[in-house]
Amino acid sequence: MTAPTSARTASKTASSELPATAAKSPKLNRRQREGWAAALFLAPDVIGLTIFIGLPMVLSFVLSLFQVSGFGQYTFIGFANYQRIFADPVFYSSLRTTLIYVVCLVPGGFVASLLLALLVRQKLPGVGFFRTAYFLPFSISIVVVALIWRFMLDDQVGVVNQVLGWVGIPPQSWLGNPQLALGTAVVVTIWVQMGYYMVILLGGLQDIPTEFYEAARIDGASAWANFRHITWPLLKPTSFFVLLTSTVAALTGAFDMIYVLTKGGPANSTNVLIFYIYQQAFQYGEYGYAAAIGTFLVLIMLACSTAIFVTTRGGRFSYGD
Amino acid sequence: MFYALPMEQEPLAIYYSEKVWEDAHLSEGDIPKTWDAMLELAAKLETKDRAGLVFEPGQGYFQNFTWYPWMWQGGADAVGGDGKSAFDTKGAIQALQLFQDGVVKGVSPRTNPAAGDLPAALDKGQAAMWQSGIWNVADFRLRLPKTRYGIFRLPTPSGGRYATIAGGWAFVANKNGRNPEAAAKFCVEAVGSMDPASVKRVADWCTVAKSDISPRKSALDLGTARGGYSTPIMKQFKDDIYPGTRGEPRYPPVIYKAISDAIQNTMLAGHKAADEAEIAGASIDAYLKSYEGAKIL
Amino acid sequence: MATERIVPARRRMRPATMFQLVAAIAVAVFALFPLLWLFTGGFKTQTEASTGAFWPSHPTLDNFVFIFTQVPFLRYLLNSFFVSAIVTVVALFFHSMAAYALARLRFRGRDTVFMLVFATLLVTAPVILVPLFVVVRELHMLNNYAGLIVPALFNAFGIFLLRQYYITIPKELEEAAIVDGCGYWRVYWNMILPLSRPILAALTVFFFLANWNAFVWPLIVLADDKYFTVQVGLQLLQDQVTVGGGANWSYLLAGSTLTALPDHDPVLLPAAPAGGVDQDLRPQGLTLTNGLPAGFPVRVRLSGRACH
Repeated sequence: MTAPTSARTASKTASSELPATAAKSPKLNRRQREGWAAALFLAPDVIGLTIFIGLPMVLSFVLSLFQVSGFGQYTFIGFANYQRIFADPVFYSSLRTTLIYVVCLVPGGFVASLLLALLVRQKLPGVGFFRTAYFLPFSISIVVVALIWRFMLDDQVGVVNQVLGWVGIPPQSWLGNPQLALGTAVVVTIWVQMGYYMVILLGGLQDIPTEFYEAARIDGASAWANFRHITWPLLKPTSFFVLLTSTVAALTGAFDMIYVLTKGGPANSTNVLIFYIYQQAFQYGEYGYAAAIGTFLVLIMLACSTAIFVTTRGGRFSYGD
Repeated sequence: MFYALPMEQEPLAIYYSEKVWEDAHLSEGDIPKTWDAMLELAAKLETKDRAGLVFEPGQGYFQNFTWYPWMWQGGADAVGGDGKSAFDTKGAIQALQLFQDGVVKGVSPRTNPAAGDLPAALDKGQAAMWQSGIWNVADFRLRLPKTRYGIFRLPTPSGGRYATIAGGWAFVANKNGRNPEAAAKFCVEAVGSMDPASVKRVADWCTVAKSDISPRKSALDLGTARGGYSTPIMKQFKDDIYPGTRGEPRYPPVIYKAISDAIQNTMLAGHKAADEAEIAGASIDAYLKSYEGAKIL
Repeated sequence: MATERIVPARRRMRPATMFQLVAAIAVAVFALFPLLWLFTGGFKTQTEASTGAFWPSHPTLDNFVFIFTQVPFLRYLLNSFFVSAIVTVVALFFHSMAAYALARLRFRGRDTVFMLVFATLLVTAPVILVPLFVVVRELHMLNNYAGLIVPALFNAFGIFLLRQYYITIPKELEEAAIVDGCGYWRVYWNMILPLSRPILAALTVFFFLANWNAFVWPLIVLADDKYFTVQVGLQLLQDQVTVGGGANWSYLLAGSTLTALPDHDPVLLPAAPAGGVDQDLRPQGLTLTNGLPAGFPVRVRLSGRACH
């Protein structure tokens, strides 16, 4: 406890003494030098983020105040696009679809990946093969993933329906039934991503010192107790990271999967917000309206990241510091 | 705003597998003339591994395209002659109902068999009948020349009148472009002038490169004279299917979307056809009130 | 007491291991079975591919010949490789610089800058697709490599992770170097960068994969087939090769068999040694053991390299 404090005092002393002794740049004191250095180090990314994320965010709002015709004529219409959002039934259904998608996919994917990570942490024969096998789906182009699954999920001759037929389940239209399509998209997404998050979680698991488990074994702790009292708490930072990235992926990355798998159908049942924005902008040419929905989504995102920032005290979620 | 000249016409008909037909002991006389007969036949030909009659199920412009003729047959239209919606009418409701009936009766699949590959599905017996366009003829010729298939006109509802739809690519010059005169001139020279080379170009495109109906009489005549429409199927397309064709309407996105939602909700989500026609009709009317563009055809 | 407990515990291990093995195999089937479609699909004729035949009855190489002779597929592959590699290298360089400043340097407004950067964490390209497209168009970067590369460079994600990692490096090392008269650049270059090798290696894999698989942005920003990345090229194979309605899946499957290959390498290589022995044989760099998760808690491996 005392060591870091004294180190900090020492460094403070050093920094306050430095300007007097620094012969290199007599004009700037250490604090100014540090400030300039920081500015230069930050410059490329901050400028880039400003132009390619900040500016589009502002522009998104500006654009949302206009009606844009297909031929690029802009008409200022104030907040009419926002009024339109709240009168648009597809927007509401799309918002609901997005929430369901995220709420199913994020925890579902996390549990699947964690189970896999726990599994391939074991000394199983051929564990290297299993790790590679689980990761492979992630390396396939999403266009092709969708195609393969469309064959497998075919209403009539698809292998999934055939297998289910063996156990007496009647054939389903996995991608053509509005009640099933979103769930199917979630499962296919988990199939793609499980190996990716497994690898990350496995890294976190392997960082837990084995001494803990050995001590627990001597105490006769059960596997569940091991998980509950050692693995879970020590894995928290990694879990947080996985949940954060998979939420981002679910909110925004959903586009690719929906685009190639269902195009938002059947009956808008998989039309997540991010896809609806694309449809409005690039299929219907409604740039202003699309920007209004986009701005709405940006606000949700900003609220989410602020909430995360506050609850984790600036990303310092490694409990107890 | 544009000058456009069509270079091809692609009408829709219903394809069927002759093999499936024969296995069910059917002959040409069994070709359905009415919607009811068509659905009945589809139920007869449908098996566990085979779709009876495929209507396009995918949400999108193409589905709307394939659905319009069924609507027209009953005298309905998205935009009527008076500039108001003619959608909330019997003709549209029964056409919505047709797609729903297919799905509810289990004869029309909710997703395309063979991932949308019609020739393959007919070849392997995964579909008995399939509503689609003339372009498949070239596909059959190229890939599956031995597959035996036939086509017939879209059946009509009781009291309806035959109609089908044709789409296709066109040469288009933007009036706001840098040199609209030259662009328009190029289009005319390419596919629209009486110059023999231009006529031959269109005929080649429609009969050699693809299998389409030429939109120009001169090119159609040339294509016919050279035997481009001598096969029974192409001849049938030209003489039996094509007359009664209406061009693909160019609806603004709002109208397209209203209709698309109506089709999807009725066909796949099981909503009532009458309700959906009413909702779509109302949003089309609301849109038309504020619409100031060119006349919608 | 202790020994008595361990012995039966070991005996009980066997059925548990058996169970785990069965579970592992079941999941492997779930993961790999769909891929068999992919690898056999390239050898099927179009009709077989689209009607879902599992095994090609007359295996053919025509599809592979087609995509290399009729489509500039090799060019797509090279484009993808080029773009992904440049983005990965440049982005990680920029991010580590920014992260160094945010984690190690003291200056006014640091917390504000960090908060602003963090705020954009969830705002990714698809959300701001339309205005981003407008910005890129105004910068004349539509339909060229710059339009693919430059917007992909900037995201808060990499900055955030690297900052978390850099925070855990003990201050003393750096202070000593600075007192020794090293400039900040040299501290960064000679000390921070070498120390962050493991996390950079991990992030390299992820950045490369993310860019290799990027789909929406390239689809929207590119028009000219000269610049197409593999993902766009594959979508095009699906859309364009068709004469009419039916797409030629077998070309697509053949193409993606080849596309998937470059991705596999980083996985196959480290996974092989990890197979046999102990959990300590971690695939360096890939499992992120030394990378992301280590960045959050306290463990940092220091090699103690100073400035000179």
